[in-house]
Amino acid sequence: MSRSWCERESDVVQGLRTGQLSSELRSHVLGCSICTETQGVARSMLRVAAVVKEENEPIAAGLVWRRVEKQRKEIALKRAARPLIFMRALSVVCVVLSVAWGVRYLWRSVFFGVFSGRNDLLNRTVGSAAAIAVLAIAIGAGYLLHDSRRSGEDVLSV
Amino acid sequence: MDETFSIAGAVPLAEKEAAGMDEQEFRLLYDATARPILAYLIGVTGRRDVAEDLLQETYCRFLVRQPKPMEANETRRYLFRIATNQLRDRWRRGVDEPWQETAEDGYSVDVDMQMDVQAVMQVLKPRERELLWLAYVEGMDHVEKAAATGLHALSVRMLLFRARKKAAGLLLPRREAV
Repeated sequence: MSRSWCERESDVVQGLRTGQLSSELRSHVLGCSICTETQGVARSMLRVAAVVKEENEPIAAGLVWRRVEKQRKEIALKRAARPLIFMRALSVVCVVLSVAWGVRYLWRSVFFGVFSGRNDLLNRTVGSAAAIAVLAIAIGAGYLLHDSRRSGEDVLSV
Repeated sequence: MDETFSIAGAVPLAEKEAAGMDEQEFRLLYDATARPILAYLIGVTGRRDVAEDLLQETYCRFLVRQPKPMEANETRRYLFRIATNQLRDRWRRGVDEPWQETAEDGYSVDVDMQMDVQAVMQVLKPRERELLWLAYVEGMDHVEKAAATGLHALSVRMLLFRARKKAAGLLLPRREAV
């Protein structure tokens, strides 16, 4: 069975990378098919990599830093806006529920004659509105608590 | 003693941002690591424009993420890991096909050698290109390559063996023929 690796392979690569391939290692390479193969491929890649590194200057660190700062601000803004968006949605739900309750009450009073006076309507309306408001506050508070815990965790994955 | 880059620890985000790397520290890190990472990205994608974009995104993610304090070597591996993940995300999304450029765009000197290597890289799979570059250009051992690519160390050994065989089969006959 042919071998798939040689324990001197990494030495050969390091020798090629540093330009210090000892005579002992050279003679090993001559007698080892794996290291011969490694040497051929590594040498070609190192020559190309040297040219690529020399010819391609990375953009200035300052530009990257500014991009990061911008990205951080955007993330902070998104995080700050998240509870507001949630509370807005919650208030819409609250209004819809209140209106639905009001319509239902009026519909029942007109068609079934349940209506038993102005005070009764007022009491029921105030009671239901208070119940909906308390429920909305509880949900909102729960969300804010959850969100403040979550903001300690990360936004971007590697 | 190994150099240590001061990177904020695993603390709530507000504290992280306050305790994070400042611009001066970032410049030191960037100057020490950006060139090999850019070369890696060019080597694997064959496209300088894509590589530059991914390089910036790599550092953005690194700084926004603010990992626990780590040694210089570990930071280097971590940056390569982010860069590799981005390469894969890009290919997975099908944003661009690798190796669309002509030889002159990414490589311009020592034309024979570069054309050979470029031709070989075009044939290899992205993962094979990554492993060959990390092994032979960056000189990473199997554990380091595993950390930089997210693969298991044993898989790295086998995949590298196959990639090397494939590259040698394509590259060496060309060199011998010259």
